[in-house]
Amino acid sequence: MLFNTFNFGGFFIIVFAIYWALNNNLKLQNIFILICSYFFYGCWDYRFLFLLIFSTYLDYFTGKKIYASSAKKHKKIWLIISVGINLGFLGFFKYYNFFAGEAATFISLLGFKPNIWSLKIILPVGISFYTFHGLSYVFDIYNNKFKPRESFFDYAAFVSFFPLLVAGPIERASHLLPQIEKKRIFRYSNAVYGLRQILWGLFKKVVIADNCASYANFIFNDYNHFNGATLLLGAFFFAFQIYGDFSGYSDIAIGTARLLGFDLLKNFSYPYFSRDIAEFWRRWHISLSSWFRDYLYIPLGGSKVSKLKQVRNTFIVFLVSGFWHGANWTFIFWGLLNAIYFLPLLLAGRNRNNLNFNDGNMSFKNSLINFGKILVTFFLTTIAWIFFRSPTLKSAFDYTYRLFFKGLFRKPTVFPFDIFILIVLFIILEWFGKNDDFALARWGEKRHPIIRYSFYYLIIIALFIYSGKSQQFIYFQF
Amino acid sequence: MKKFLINILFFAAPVILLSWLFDGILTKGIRKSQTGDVKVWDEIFGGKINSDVVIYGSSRAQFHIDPSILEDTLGLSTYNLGIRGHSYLMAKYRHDILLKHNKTPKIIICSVDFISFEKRVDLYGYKNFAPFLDDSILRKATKQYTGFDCYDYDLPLVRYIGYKKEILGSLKYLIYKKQNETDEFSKGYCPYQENWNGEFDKVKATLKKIKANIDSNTLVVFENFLEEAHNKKIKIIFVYCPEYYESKDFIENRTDLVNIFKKYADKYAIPVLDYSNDTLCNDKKYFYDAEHLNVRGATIFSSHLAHDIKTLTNS
Repeated sequence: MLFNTFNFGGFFIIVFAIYWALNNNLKLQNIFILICSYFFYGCWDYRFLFLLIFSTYLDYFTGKKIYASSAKKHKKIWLIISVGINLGFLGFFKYYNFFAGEAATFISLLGFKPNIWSLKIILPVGISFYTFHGLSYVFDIYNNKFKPRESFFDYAAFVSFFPLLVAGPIERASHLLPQIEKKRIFRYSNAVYGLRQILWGLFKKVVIADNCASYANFIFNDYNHFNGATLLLGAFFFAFQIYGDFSGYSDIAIGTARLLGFDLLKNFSYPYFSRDIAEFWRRWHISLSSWFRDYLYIPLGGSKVSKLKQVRNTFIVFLVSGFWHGANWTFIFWGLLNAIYFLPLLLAGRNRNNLNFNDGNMSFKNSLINFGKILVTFFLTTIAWIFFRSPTLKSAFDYTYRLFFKGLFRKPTVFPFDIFILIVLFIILEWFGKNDDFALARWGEKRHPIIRYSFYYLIIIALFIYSGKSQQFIYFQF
Repeated sequence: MKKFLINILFFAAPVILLSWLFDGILTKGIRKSQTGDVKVWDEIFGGKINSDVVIYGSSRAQFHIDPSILEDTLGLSTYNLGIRGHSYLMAKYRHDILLKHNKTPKIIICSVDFISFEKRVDLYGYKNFAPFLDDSILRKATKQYTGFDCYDYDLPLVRYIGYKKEILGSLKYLIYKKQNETDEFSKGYCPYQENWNGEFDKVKATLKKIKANIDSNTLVVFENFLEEAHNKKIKIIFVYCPEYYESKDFIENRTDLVNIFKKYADKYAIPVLDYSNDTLCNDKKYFYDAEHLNVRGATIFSSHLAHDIKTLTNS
């Protein structure tokens, strides 16, 4: 049940109506969320529901045990059990075939005949996301930041909350669980805000991402027949495909949750307007970046250690982040490339220079410099996306080589003018909305309702006409 | 909550109301503005076929048989109703719609080949069907494939989501009364201008054989069609169109298919005109791929066919 389908629309209308009808009974309302979430997950793949329920119960149980243990050693044992089993499942379903394949290659290189048990393993949808939800809960209990919850239903509703179940944002127990335990109040302004976010998310996904996907797929699938300029355009389209796809998904998820009275973590904050790679990573997939910061980078010592260790920690985080995205060397290299981009900033101590859009001197000269920095950062990011998108490292390097050395300054053989104009309009809207949660957040609030409504209708018309060939959300595969 | 629901209603009401209106406008616009397959459907539904001879089959009918040549030779009005990418399952539904809106033909030329009894999963050329989904027969036909879902059938405008080119063409037609592009089709016949494309040479290099899929349901539908035609005294002629001689070896179950056609031909006393060994088959210059003649080949073949049918009908 994809967010951009009528099935989901129908499902949500029913959920919305019953959910608010149960508003006087919090317990029942939470159980209802849980049932709906399991139904939603079951529509994807009911066979893995048991895994979700098991993983939920494991974290609920170990969380209690960690809290109840007085000795640090016992706490640690329970933590290891939880993390070990969770990562064991994740590792088995997501990485078994990768490791088995790599081991077979290695054994063959040594001159032996590999005899490794290979399995056709299906990746349970959302496993990377709900595993991280659960882990944040046990880590926070272990670090005495959070107390375990008594109600299993409340906890299960947090882990499997349907808007974020299959592709995030990766929520923290400390942020979402208290909202689940408290009676939600329907607020008109909040609901309208949520609808606006859903509309904008749909625009990003259906108009921008799906249309870019057609061209990106076309160029990437047949890259050795195109000149460098076309390949650059292919990478550019993929950059907007992945941004529109994932941030669009996040907007729909956050907007949907808002309609139910929940406030989810922000996941994107105009990453393509970043002035350096450090800023990009504070604005891209924020819920994952901050998860790695809190549960990996800081425990490794964070920035309070020597420069050399900081470099080590940065590389670990980026490599793990790359590997989290998928069992392929391309993702690992993508992570490595980002770490390399990050390194000069870290060594120069300039990785926290650009924190807000409005910081620093906003003179004309500075604006021009910032614009240049935005272009350079976007270009570097786009080159890194080639590795993310390509099926193998070899094809990624081939693609990059051809891009730079096989006619970068020639006329592109593919140039969909109308899609290009749509992207430009999209960038303009994002630029003017960049100080808000999403580009449409405050749009037209002070304008006459007729203008405001006309604009919304225009977006709906664009959704109708420019709806590209429906594509699966990219992050569902992770 | 009340305010929210009322505002949602006010916001959605014009969308819902206008979508009914625009669905009608777009349906009309697309039917009139589009050329090719959409135009053929529009003429079937508009009762503009009314021909004495009709041709059924796949692209191998649509690209190979020029109705104007048959008309000149036979002196009978002719229309090519071949439909690319589809077997006799869709052809039967098209036939039913034809009979509902047009006069019954006297002769039906059935182009038979290795995809005649195939049942593909997807609805090939699904966009061509969208403006006609209100028709109950076509609904039933399209529901046999993946392509449209219940929302496309039952909610206004949904079937046109993402039809950028068609919507813009339709609006242009409604304003300027001009068709989107020049129509390559002539009475359903689609001449293919290109020369040999070399795709077959690649296939040949792989030495991989193709097994024609024979769907039992399509066989039943095909036999019903023959029986119905027989009862209505419509003369049926089976035609096996030319194919490039080297490609014959690549159909693994070719003999099975030929036996099926023979069985029906014997049962319903249907004459068979087999051009699979015609001299045309030996020369690439008449083809653009192994299974399809180009316009040069199609013109010569149509002429042969017209004379053979004339001989057949006179006898």
